[in-house]
Amino acid sequence: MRNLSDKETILRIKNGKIDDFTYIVKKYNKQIYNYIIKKIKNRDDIEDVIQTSFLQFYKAIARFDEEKPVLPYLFQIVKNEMKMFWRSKKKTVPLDERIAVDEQEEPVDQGFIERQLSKLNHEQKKAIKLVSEGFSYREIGKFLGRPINTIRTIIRRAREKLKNDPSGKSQGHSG
Amino acid sequence: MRKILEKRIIRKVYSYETKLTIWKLIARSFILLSLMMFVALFISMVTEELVRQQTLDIFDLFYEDFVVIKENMAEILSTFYQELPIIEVIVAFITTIFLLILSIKLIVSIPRIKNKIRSIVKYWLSN
Repeated sequence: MRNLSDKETILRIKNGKIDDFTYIVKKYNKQIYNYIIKKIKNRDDIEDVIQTSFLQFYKAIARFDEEKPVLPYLFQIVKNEMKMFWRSKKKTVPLDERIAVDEQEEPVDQGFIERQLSKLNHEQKKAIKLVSEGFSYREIGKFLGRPINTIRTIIRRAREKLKNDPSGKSQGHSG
Repeated sequence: MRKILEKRIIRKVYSYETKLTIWKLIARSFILLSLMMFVALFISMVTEELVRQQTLDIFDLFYEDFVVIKENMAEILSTFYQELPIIEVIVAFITTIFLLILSIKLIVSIPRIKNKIRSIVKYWLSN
């Protein structure tokens, strides 16, 4: 293994030595993998996101300022790719007739969920919905404009509220 | 497992870079050749026009004495300027400037392109 810094490696890649990108991949692959595995469960999807993220990083390398650290930039790309992934997942949910029929046959579940969610205040409801869509606390924090610790508290309280009255009979709104 | 993933990432990067490099080489060669042809065409048009008008004959004056040349220089240049096919000259000039800029850019990036091609060939030969 050689002892080149990230800055030197990036400069070499910019000079056309594509082989050196292997060192970047080897160095950060594990960290990226461990980060994504917390948010996406399917192995194929994880690998797709990692591959696309590294490719996007390679495409952006000409514009990348080698004085800056690689990891935060790479993480930003990974986050964007994950957002794209979630969006594409939403788009490709098949709306076949069977699902539509199932939805009609089981209105109770939907009603139950709605009743449960109605116990939560607006912010808690939004946070819980985002968690169920797979967004990280940090991302939810960004969406709601709140620090990550506040998001943790909001979600914890929302879960406690739902646990305390799982019947869904209580209709009271709390702040 | 991670090794396989790394290999896949590298393969994807090389596939992308190979396509991009080939595409850039073709595009650059095409643009450079087109510009060269344009420049040659317009220069030949200007020269033909000057020969047809016998404008170039005014430069016979340069075979005369230095004093004569000095006295008539301004007149010769103004005549030459008036008889030039202006539009063709402007187009040839602009095209030449573009050609020069692109050529300089290409010359500057030759080491990078060479490194890229070397890496690409090495990768595809070993995989």
